[in-house]
Amino acid sequence: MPHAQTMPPTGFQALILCGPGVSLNTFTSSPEEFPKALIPIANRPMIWYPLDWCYRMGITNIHLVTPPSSAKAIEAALSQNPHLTSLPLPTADILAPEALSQNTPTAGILRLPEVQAAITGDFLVLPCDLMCEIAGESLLEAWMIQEAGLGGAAAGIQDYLGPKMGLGGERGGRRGGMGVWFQTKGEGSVKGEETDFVATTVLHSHIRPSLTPPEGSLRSHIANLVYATPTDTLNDITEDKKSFPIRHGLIRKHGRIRMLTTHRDAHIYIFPHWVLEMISRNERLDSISEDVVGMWAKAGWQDGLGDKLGLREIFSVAEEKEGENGSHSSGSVEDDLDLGSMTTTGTSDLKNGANDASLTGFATRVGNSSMQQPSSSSKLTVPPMLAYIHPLDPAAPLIRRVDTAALLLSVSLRLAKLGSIDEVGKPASSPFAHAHKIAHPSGIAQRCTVTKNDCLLAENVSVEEKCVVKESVIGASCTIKTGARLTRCVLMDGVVVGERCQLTGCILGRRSGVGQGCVLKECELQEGYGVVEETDARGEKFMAVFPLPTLPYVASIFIVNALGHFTTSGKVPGHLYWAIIKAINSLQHKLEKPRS
Amino acid sequence: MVPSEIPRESLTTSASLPEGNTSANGTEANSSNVDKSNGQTQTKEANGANGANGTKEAAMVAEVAEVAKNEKLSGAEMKKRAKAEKAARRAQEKQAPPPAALVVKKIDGGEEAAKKGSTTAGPTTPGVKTQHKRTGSTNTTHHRPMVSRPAQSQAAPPAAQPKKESKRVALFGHLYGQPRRTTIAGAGKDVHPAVLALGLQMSNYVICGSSARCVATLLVFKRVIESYITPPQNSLPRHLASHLSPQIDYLVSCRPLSVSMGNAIRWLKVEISDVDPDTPEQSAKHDLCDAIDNFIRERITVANQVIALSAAEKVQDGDVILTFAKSSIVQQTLVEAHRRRTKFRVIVIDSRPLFEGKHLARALADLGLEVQYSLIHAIGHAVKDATKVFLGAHAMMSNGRLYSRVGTAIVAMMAKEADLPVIVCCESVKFTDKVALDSIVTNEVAPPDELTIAGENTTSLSKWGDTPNLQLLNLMYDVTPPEYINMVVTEYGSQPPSSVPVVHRLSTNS
Repeated sequence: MPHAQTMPPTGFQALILCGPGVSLNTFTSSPEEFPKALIPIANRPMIWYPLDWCYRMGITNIHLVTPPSSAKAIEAALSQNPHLTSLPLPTADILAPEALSQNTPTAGILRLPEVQAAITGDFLVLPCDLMCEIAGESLLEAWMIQEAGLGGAAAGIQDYLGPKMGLGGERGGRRGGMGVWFQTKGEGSVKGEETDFVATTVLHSHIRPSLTPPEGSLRSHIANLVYATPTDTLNDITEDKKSFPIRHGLIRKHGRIRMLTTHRDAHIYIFPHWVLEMISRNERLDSISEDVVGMWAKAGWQDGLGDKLGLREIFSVAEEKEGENGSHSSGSVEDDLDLGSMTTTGTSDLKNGANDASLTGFATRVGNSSMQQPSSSSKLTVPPMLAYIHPLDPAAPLIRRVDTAALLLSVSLRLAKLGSIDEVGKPASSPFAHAHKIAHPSGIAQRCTVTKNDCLLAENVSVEEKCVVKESVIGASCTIKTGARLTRCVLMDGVVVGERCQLTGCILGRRSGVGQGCVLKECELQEGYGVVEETDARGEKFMAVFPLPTLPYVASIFIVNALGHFTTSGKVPGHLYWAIIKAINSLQHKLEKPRS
Repeated sequence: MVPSEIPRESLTTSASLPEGNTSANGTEANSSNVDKSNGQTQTKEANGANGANGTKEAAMVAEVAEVAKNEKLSGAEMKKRAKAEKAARRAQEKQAPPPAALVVKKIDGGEEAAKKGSTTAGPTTPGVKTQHKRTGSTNTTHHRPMVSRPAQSQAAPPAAQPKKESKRVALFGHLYGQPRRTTIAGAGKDVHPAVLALGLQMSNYVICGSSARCVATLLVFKRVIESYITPPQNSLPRHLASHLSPQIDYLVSCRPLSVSMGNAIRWLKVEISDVDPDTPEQSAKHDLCDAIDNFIRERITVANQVIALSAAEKVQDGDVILTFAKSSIVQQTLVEAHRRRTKFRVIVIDSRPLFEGKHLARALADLGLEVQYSLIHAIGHAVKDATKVFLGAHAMMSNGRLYSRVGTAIVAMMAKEADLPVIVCCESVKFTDKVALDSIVTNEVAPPDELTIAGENTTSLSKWGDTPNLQLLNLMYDVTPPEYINMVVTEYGSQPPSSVPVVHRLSTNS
């Protein structure tokens, strides 16, 4: 189980991209103070999940890439948040390049000089909103088996840049990349979740597919990626052309193509180091998922695309450097050796002459009449881009990207159902399990109902009498007043829910408040927002209407936060709190009208 | 709702009850387990019998101890079990008609749980509540019967289940050892990333074949040496060898070392220990890397070329060359012969599950050779057309026997039967001073699941693990006796198999 075994260092680096969180704008209104990466999911900051995932698979060299504006908040959280400080050492480095704004495309991030300098070996690119239960090492293992260079040209070694990669590496068609796609349908599916269109073919590999993979191996779900684009782009294409055009080249090369439209890119990429060079050479590659991976997948079958991307130069630069280095002036052995053709489970490409480089040495003596001389115009082997297609199976581990409010709700509630460590014991528990379901049992009044198996209550939560809390996640220092009913709700830290409120399917931002007697269904509350008493709303987003960084907004937030703090600690009577909240809200509405 | 604790507790009690039965009255144990409603009265009887018969009690104690030892129970669990047993017994005595009492108790428990558990009230059935309650209070004897109830229903399977059949073939029992490592989890902290990848590639047959594995290992060790830094107060010749040993252990756990790898590693260790401790670290490392390069060149690359050159002379116009699976040297030989514009045909014999011959057949066919491919069952037919047999080797034993991919021996024997010359191509790095008389004493057992066909659940083999009296054996190698081999082509020349020890001595002394 995840806790049991130690992981050897795999030499990989992880790059976690902490983006702006556009689809979660209710909760990320001020990225300076509270960036997306810190939004709690099941009472842990979002960033905890990818960080923990990395540590569990033995990656300790982690960089969090974030715009300078959010860097401070993340840095503070890393050093203060109890969940983040409990992660193993060494702590992740924060990389906040000057030129990085909230809107920089993902591939643009990898082009930044600071990021280029930070990556010294093979690396993983992860989003900050990743929720992945699959053991990360099994993905790494799959990559090592399928893609790591042969014989020393191996997996992610630090400070191991190109030069030593001979035929066992890129030039021999190994050291490709790998991505992860997961099914969005099935249990826990959310309407309108973004999807990607992917086309895959059977893995062309040394391994006979008929050989039963050992237990725990992901190999049976790994395929060769030949086409990847977001479904939106696909829809644009089909609308534009009234059909979906497929190049003949694809069908000529691959007989059996599987097309998937309901899967989504998990944005987990295992990249060899040379991908950085490919990205920096091609300015027009914007996003990793659409452009880099999409183009790479196409380059595998589209003749000439690999050359257009400059792959030939990238791979051959490696050779030149070697000559310049002079350390192996006699020519390293790796140059003459093609393990891919030596191994008995690999097919040698005898025609190209590349394989039997060992023979070419004396081929000059014997005469090379029947053989073709390998030339620079010979075919370029593009290392493949692989796709791990996560199977749809209720028992299968969870992979999700939490980037919309609906997903935030569904994933939080799903995590709340996991048995806690004190219930099931450490070895059997999920890596995402909390130590206790209810961290602070004394805060819960006698006569109220909290369904323990699907609820998660953080520290210092007080639930007053006659409350009913079902299927909910409640953050630290929340107060649920008498007679409130919460069903399928997510409450972030410091929320105050008034008396006799009925909340169903709501997400309440930090330090927000709900006045007494409100009936809210599927609503979202912005950080610090107070809903007036007796509101009856459905499917609304309660947000401040000001252009966000303006003074009154900040002031109101401050007042509400302070009030909420004092109210929860009992220093300010509740009715005063609601009176002030009301006043602020009416002020906001007045200000809103002339604007609209 | 603490669901996980329930089975645990019921399990301990389930173990306790039938145990009491068997100890007192072994034959009745089965019937009591089968008939649930009857079970409790039987326990009572058993208890009575225990009390009456003092001699049997001693036997029971012994048996309990034995069971305890078998199941490796902790002291706390033993205590718990004894307590549960006692409570169950007492409950039995109190309630004469057990099923009726049980129902009553169940309702009692439910009510009590509802009263007490105000915080845990939810959309739960009374039954669940009683279960929840049960885990909470172990001190009240009232709830004991409920504990013993599921115990009886669960007691049946262990009694009915036969002892798990060993799926290991007894004759090859000594070869099994540790199952192959399939994950990097749990590998030592010192294992180099390149070694991690190599181990996985070897256990998944990405790198397969004696020469390829040997070369790959040496190249990876070159990486290890390059990134190695001698810790303070240590000298490189002494410490580097100990740094290599966890790497080697990891490789062994992925797949046993090949003979060539063993030879290469032995050479490397000698080379490391010969480093002068006064040499600066950088130059020592550089020298070692150069030595590895030279070793690969001399013993494998150039040796391959020499062997291919001399073996290719044996191929003449009109020959039909028969070969088994894929050997990189044999492939090189055939390519060399083709380069010399010799007109010949190739028959590739192959075997499951690796189908290495397919790769050879594909490569040669792409080159323009005429290739015939068939599996090993067709060997009798294939030898009729063949004129010469070329074989690769995993190792050559000192008694002249060829140790190679399983199936090689049959091919060699059939060829001998048909009076065909059998030529083995083998570098001296694969020679070993070990002797082998048969393929039983030394061999490698691969995971038997590899013989099943992935993704197919319909074949009879797919459920072999559940089929009684069926064992699968997936051997990697076999031994071909020297009388079936006419010639061994090495870089030292072509010899009969009896000259193997001479060549081995030559190659190790030089």
